[in-house]
Order: sequence, then C-alpha cells, then structure tokens
Amino acid sequence: MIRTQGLTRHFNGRAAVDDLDLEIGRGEVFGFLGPNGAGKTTTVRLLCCLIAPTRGRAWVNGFEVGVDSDAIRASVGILTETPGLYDRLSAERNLDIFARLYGMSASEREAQIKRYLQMLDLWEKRREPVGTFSKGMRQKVALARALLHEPPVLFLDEPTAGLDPEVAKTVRDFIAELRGEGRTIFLCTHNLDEAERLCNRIAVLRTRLIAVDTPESLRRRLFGRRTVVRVRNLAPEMVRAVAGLPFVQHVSQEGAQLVVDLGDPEEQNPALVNCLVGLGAEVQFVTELRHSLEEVYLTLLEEEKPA
Amino acid sequence: MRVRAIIDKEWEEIVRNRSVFWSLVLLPLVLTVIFLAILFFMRLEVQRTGSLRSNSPIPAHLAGYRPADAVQIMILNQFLMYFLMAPMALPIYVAAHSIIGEKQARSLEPLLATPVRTWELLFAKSVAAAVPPIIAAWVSYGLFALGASFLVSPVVLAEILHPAWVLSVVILSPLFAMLSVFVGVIASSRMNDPRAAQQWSAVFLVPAIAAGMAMMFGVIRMSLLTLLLGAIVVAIADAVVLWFAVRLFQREVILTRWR
Repeated sequence: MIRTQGLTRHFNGRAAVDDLDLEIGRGEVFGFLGPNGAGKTTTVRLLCCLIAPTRGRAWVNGFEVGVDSDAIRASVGILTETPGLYDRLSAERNLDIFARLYGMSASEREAQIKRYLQMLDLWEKRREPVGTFSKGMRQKVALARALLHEPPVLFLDEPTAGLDPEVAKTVRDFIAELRGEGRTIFLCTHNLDEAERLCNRIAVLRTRLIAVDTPESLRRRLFGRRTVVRVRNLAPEMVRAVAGLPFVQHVSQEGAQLVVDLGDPEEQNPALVNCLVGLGAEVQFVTELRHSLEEVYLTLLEEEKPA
Repeated sequence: MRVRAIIDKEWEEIVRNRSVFWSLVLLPLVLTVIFLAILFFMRLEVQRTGSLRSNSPIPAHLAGYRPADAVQIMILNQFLMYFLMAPMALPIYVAAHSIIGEKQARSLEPLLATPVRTWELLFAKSVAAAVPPIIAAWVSYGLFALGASFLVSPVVLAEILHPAWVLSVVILSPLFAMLSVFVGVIASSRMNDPRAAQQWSAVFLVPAIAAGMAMMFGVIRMSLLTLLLGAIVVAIADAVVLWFAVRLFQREVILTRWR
C-alpha cells in the first residue's frame, strides 16, 4: 500500500530524510517513531505529494509520488500536526468544504459528515464555530475531515499530542476502530505506549531508518527474552544450578529474584522451575521480564547515535 | 466544484468577519451618499444662482453644454472614476492575506493535501476577494444613477448612463479588479509577512490608477471601441497574471520555510 525506495529529501543541502526504504501492507497500522527533527513530518509530506523528493521513489495506494500526485491526494487522508480548521466556520461547514474538495456529492457529504460527527460525539455541536471548541474537539473535527472521503491510506501526524488523557484515549480508541476497517494507517507519534497499543509494526527514524519490525520482535532482538523467578529462600547453589542448565544463556541475581535469559521461555520455563523446586526452592512468582517500547526506542537511538 | 467550494468558504469567512465585510462594501456605498449629497447641493446652487462656476477651465469637449451641465459633467467624471477604482483597490488587502492567512491559520497544509489544483485555489481566492467589492460598486453605481435622476438635468443623466461608463463599470472595472487581486495573491504566496504583501500589492495598483487618471483627464478618450480593446487587453493580462501566479506559487517553500 505504501512503498518507498531510497526516498531522500534534502533542505539546503542537509538531509531531512535519507535513503528511506519501507514497505507497508494493506490494513497495517504502521508506527513511525523518531525524535523531533527526525524527518517524520517530511516523510508524510513526501508521501502525500506536498513536497517532492530530492531522489528516490515512492508509491502510495499503487500510485507513484510525483507522477500520479492528484490520484494520491484523492486517495489519502491526512491529519496534520495542528488541526488547521477555519475557526469562524462551524464543524459541519469545515467538513462540507473539504468533502466538496474531494468531489463528494451532496448526499454523500451529508451522510459522511453525520456519520463521523456522531462517531466522535460532535453531532450536537455541529453548527457551532470550531473556534469555540476545545483542543480535543478540534482534533476530532480534523480527524473526521481526514476520513470523510474514506481514504484507503490515512496519515496521522501526532494525533494525540497535547490532548488531555481522556480525549487522547477517545482518539486512540477511534484509531483502533479504524484499524478494523482495513485501512492502512501511517501513524507518526512520540507516544510509545500509543504505538505499542495500536501498531502492527513500528519504524524508528533519525533521518535514516534505524529499525523496522513489530514491537515484540524489536524487543527480542535487543534484549532477548528473560524470565524472572522470585524465590523466598534463594541460595547461591540454586543460582549455580540454574546457570549450569544447558538452555540458560545468562543468569543474574537481584535480591530474592533470579533473572534468567532464555531462548524459548515457553518450552524452557517448566524445566527451570523443576530444577529450582528440586533444590528445595520456594517459588513465589514466575514472570516474563518485558522491556518497555520506550527502552527499545531509546536503545535503538543510542546505538545509532552519531560518534 | 472545488473552485466553488473555496469561494463559498472564503465568502462565509468574510461574512462572518464583519470588519472585513464592511471594509469591502462600505466605501462605495458611502461615496454614493457623498456624491449624491454634492449633486443635491449643486442643484440648490443652480436653483439659487441659475448656474455653476468652476475654478478649472471647462474642457473643450464640453464646450457645447450649458455651463451648469458642463461643470456637473466634469465633476461627475471624477465621481464615476471612483466606481471604477473601488473594486480594484478594496479587495487587494483580502487578496494579499489569502495565502498567508491560510498559512498562519495552519489550514494550508490540509488544503494542499486535497486534490485541489494550484490554479483552482488561486482563482477561487481571487474571485472570492474581488466579487463583493465589484457587486458593491455595481449597486452603488445603480443607486447613484437612480438618485442622480432626481437631481440633474437629462443631459447630465445621459452622461452618467453613457454606454462607455456603463460598460466601464460593468466589464472593465471587474477585469481590472481581477488583475489587482491576482497580483495580491501572487504577493501573498511569495511573501511571508502580510504587511509586506499588502504594500507590494498596492504598488502594482499604480499602473491601473494611472490609466484611470488618463481616462478622467481625457488623455484616453472613452469611446466604445477603446473600451472594448481595453477590456480585451485587460482580460488577456488577467490570464497571463493568473498563469504567472500559478507558476510562482511554491507550495514546498510555503509549507516548509514559512514560519
């Protein structure tokens, strides 16, 4: 649905996006992570044909960027960093104008505006000027605007930035609903929890692509898989015995806990626990040590830090 | 459809912003009242003294008229010039703000992400800025002619309703107005400060004002043929300036460099 090949964009001789290769499938929610200035917004602008690449190629929904720009614009929806609404106009009029720009008929416009304003709990306020709306309400109107023409590809640039937790959750839930509709969603975000919850795969960018995979695979790649066993009567011989098990890659003791690196915890945890119980260990908890996506993200950025 | 959508949006914003709306339509209406008041006092003067005096010499082409009529026609020509000039001057500030305004409201990026083409955007913005003052000028001219019919002699009224003046107000003035707003839109899309855009737009009005002055002082005689040729030239200039406006519109620069 979205494909880029060596996509590069320079500004004044400096690369904002460098040699980006991506392949995003239909119906995928793709998280695009990176620090400020990493090139996330530039990538969205390139893929929406708002700016031209310096080199490289890209395809969106089967259309090539720079060749079929009108077709791409007609088949994508974009939620920009700021809502960019017309404050003096009502929510309904804001949406109607954009629906007309997408060539929708009067009946389609009416139905779609009603559908999305109802879904986002704004129907009762449809005739009020958006200038009187809260930040969250404005963001919802902008989200509805991006969806009116039912684009198969949706670009969301920081959709929950600056929203209060309640509204942010509403927006996130709404995006989760969209995921079920088979749309491809390209989600730029700083919110790693949001990326974890919503995205099938994530990419980490700092001008160049640092990594792209599912959050779970990135976690495994960076940290392996670890099992934490809490033992009431943990003794040094138990630690030595666990270290001697053939499938244990590494073991460390943290107070009453053993942290054990394993290749396949689902298969190896029972043997690990049997070994400990056999030595008289009173096992209190056995859990998987999950590294947060934040740790994954920061580790990736740290590894790629320029010398 | 896209052009119409943008025009509707612009007009709705203008109507909802009363200070902008009245700035576009009030001046022609106020001038109409002032001009009619002047005609009224001229009429009182003619009734009181039997004639009108002028400090300026009567131009040769008015030599055949009664002195009072000649003086009134001379002054009327100046009045009518305002109906020609108002649609050119009034919308230029709206036009100069058209692109910068969208950028400042952060609405330009979502707008440019739609299938709207550059020419559609610029043309729609220009039409939206030009039409309210054009209509205001037409209405004012009509009201002026109606009011004048009660205040001046049939000879002077014939001058107000001379086909050359009617065609100037109805055709030439809107074409000049479009020219001025296209220039305003160019300035708006090339400068990132609304004040600079307004100043530069106003500079480009000077040739149009010069042409108007030349008509007023009889340097250019307003025959129907002159008008027709003038209208054709201005229409071509409109198309050329719109073409340049589209060429000069750098969406990348506007999106990525303006702050």
